[in-house]
Amino acid sequence: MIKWQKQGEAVVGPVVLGDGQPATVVLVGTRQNPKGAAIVLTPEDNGPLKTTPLNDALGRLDPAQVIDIVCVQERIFGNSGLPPAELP
Amino acid sequence: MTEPRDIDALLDEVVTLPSLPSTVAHITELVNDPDCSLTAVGRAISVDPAIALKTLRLVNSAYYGLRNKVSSVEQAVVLLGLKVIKNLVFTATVFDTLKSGVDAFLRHSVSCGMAMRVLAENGNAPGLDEDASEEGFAVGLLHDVGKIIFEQFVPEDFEKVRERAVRSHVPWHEAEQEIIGVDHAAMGARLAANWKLPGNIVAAIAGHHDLAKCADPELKGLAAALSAADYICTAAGAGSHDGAAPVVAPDVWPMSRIVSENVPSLLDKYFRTQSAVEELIQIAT
Ligand SMILES: [Fe+2]
Ligand SMILES: [Fe+2]
Repeated sequence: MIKWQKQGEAVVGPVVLGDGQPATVVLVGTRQNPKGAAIVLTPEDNGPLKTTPLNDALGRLDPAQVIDIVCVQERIFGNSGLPPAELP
Repeated sequence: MTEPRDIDALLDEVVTLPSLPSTVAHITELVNDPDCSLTAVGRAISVDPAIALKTLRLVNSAYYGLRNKVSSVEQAVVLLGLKVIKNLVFTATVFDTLKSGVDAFLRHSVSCGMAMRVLAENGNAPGLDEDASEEGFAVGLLHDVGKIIFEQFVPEDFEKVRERAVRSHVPWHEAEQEIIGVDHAAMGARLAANWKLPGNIVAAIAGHHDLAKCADPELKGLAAALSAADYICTAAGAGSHDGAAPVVAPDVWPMSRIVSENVPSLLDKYFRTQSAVEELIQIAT
C-alpha cells in the first residue's frame, strides 16, 4: 500500500508506474473534482515536472494502486462516510 | 505456546468447529427440497424468535431497499423467494458467530460482503450461482471466520500472530502458518465444508490469500474476487485488524477481470453502500 503523508492541504504518496517511472500522487480534493487527484511524474535529468490528472493515468497504474489512491482520496475529502484515513 | 501443527491435528486436539445453527440447517434442507412450500420455510424461521427478528430487520434494511415495510416472516419469504431467504437467514446467524470478535472484525466482514456484492453485480466474481450478489455477500461475510476460531481456541497463539503481523509486517496468514501451523483461510474453508456450504464458497475461502490453495481451478476467479474485495474494504478503512496490510498477488486482477480503468466506477458503487454497511452492523450487534 502507498505510504501517504500530509503536505499542507494536500496528501501525497510515492508510486512507481507500470513502466517503472517513479511518480508522486497528489490528492487535493474530492472525487467529483477532476483535478482532485493527480500524478506528478518525477522528471529525468532535471526536466520540468509533468502533472497528469489521475483519470488520464489509470492505465499506467495497477488496480491495487488505483484502489489505494481512490479510497484514500474518498476517506480524506469525500462524504460517503468511510472511516477517515489517519496520516502521519 | 502450542507447537505448529497440521489442520487435522488441530481439529483433533484443540479446535471444535461450531456447528451450523439448527434453524439454518433445517431451512437449507427445506430450500433444497424441490417440493418445499414457502409456508413451510416461513414457519421454520418463525419458530426461532431471535432469527425471525433478525430476518425481519434485514429484510427491512437498506441492503434490500424494499419500498414497503415487511412485517411478517411469511411475507418476507414470498417477497424475496427461497434462495434469498436462505442466504438471509444464514447471514442473520453468521452475525452471531462474527460478533464474538473485535468490532473491527465485524465491520471488516460486513464490508467485505458488500464489496463482494458489488463485484458480483459488476461481473467481476465469476463462479457464483444465479443469485450471485447474495452468494457473493455470504462468502465475503464469512471469508475470515477462521480467525474467530483461532481467537477462541488458541488465543495465545492468536495474540502472537497479531504481534508478528503488526510489528514485523508479515502477512497475517503467513504469521498464522508460522505460529499455529495452519492459516485462517484453511480453517475457514474447513468450517464452511463442515456446514455443507456450496463448494464454490468453500474453495473461494480456501484460496483468498493464495489462489493455488483453491482446490478447483475453475473457481480461482472467485477466490481472486474475494481477495480483491478484501483489499478494497481494507483500503477503504475497514481492515480486519489494525496495522495488518493485505498483500494481493498480481494475478488476482486478471483472474477477477478487474482493470485499472474500471476501478474508480467500481469503488463509487462500493462507497455508496456505506450506509447499508452501518445498518447491517447495527442489526448484527
Ligand atoms: Fe483473510
Ligand atoms: Fe479479510
